[in-house]
Amino acid sequence: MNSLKDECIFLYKSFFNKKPDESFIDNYIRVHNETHLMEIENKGEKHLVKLIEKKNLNVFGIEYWLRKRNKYNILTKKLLVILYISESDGKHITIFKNDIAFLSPWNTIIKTIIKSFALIIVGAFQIKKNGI
Amino acid sequence: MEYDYLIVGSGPGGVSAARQLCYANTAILDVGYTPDRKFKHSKLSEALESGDMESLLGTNWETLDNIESEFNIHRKIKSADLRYVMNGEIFRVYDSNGRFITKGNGSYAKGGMANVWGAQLLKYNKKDLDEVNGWPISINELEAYYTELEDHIGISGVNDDMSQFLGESDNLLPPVELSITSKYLLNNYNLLKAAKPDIGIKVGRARVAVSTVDRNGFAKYKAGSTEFFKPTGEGIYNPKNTLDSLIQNKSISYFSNQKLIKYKEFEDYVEIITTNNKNEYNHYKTKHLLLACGTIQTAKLVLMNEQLTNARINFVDHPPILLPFIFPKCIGNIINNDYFPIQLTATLNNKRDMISLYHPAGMMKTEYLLQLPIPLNLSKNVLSLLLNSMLIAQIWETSTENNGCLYLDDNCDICIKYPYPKKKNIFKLIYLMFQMGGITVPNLASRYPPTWGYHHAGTLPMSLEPGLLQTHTDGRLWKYKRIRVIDGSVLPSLPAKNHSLTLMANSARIADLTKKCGY
Repeated sequence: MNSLKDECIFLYKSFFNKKPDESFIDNYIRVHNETHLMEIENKGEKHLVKLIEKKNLNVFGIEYWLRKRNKYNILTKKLLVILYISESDGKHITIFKNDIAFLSPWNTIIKTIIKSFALIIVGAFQIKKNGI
Repeated sequence: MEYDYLIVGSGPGGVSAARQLCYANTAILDVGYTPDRKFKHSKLSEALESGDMESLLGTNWETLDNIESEFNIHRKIKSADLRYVMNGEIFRVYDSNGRFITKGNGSYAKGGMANVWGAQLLKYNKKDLDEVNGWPISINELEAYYTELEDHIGISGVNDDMSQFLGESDNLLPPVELSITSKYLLNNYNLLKAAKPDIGIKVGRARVAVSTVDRNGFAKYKAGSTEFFKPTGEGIYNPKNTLDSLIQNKSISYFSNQKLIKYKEFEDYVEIITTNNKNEYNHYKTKHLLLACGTIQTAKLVLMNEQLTNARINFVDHPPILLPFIFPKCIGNIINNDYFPIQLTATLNNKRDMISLYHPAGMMKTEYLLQLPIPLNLSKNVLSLLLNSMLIAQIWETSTENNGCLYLDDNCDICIKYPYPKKKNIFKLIYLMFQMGGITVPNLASRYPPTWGYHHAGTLPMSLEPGLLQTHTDGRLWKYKRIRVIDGSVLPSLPAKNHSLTLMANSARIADLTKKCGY
């Protein structure tokens, strides 16, 4: 159970730069225990999240490439679970709200494009280096 | 129990026939499964803000099902509260190579599939039927029923440029409110058209069964983006409302918890056997039996009764294409999500494809994140900006090729074999939308799998000279006098438009013919 807890903390921190509260961790563990959605069929995926966590690799850069290979890989699924829980628990509402007044939306878009390129390059490099 | 008319099924087809046959010793039977819980929020934003995770993700995390595979479960039945309406017969869909594509369900709920419909109720016209061929009835035979149904249901919309395609209608209710992006597109269309009359596309307001005013004792539509979380709500027409009125007026009898398992025709009557959830059997007698269990369920029922479980029958569908358009000028607009999702309709000149333009709301943001080809954390940051400036085109094509089939497997479960349609050229649409301020890339177009749009038809098609597993133009099964089919099964092919109103009009027509048949 601890490994799921650590995994949840690591993935959550990657998104929100802080530790999740206990109820969030409980829900994350429940999704794993109460559904078959997180069953790992591919042996290569079994230690993937642990490896990323241990080596402190860039989750999102790597996930981008894994998603290109297989849309339903375990890392994408786990990140989606983090997002589903955070969107619906009422505590992260401002992050998902779409009526925020953006002072300069184009700045956000351009920054996103630049950051995307950077993350994708980092992801490609880390995947190659770590044989993922 | 003896009735003159017995209708099985309380969806759009069954209720439409019941309206014609009321006060005539008529009964409706259905399974009438009812929910044991309800999505208790009037707005999606309310549920999100309150942190009602159980309502949003389901008691058993049902909403997460698609993270395993996109087509694992239809978006419309992901939520726990919508699943009850779609808990009817399961069907599995395979492509032409026998590869599993997806699975779906019929409905056992009062109101049937209308509980999850998009509420576009559109008339076919002569051109539609000319294009699909094979319809043994003319559009004139449906006209009067269309008009009467439109009056009864209340359709919102406008007689505008799309009237050439959708037909002129009297008594339209005011149209649904447009989002800023939809207004922008419509304005650009009008400007473009003023400069050059023949621009190659027509755009107009959506025609939907949504009451934009309080009407007939029902409150007007309250926008709340909850369509993916609960059955059709206030202001959206549901045959269930009509059925409740008919029951209240005592103009028909209604029996729920009855699943038809067997019918048999005798010289002067039809006998049917139903079962309930306690596995008790009930017997009914009727002069005329009208089957309205839904295209797929009625087909199975007929195959089982005729002991033709090895037969393969026709199946018609039109799998839609989805293509998102972003309107850069609208980026940064602050909008709420409380619009009816279907905003505009369009059609390309010289083609009869129908394009519905949707405001992307009603789902959790996480549902969209994988659609953006960038890392997930950045998708999350930029998605809200893009959604506000986006319209999603859903493209429906005419389905003339009868290349799908329905059959029962060894366990008598329903299987559908349907080849993925060929790739479609969407470049003209992309070019025309670009002229109106919308941009996209062809790679974002996705073809939904067969059956995904729930536009099913043609399993027991009408014919002037019906053969085995076909129907007469008055709905009678090929060799029967008193057993008729009145749902989508009898529509031989599908023009590009939504077929709900047509199956209702045809059902009313068959009910009328039944009444006048003289026996």
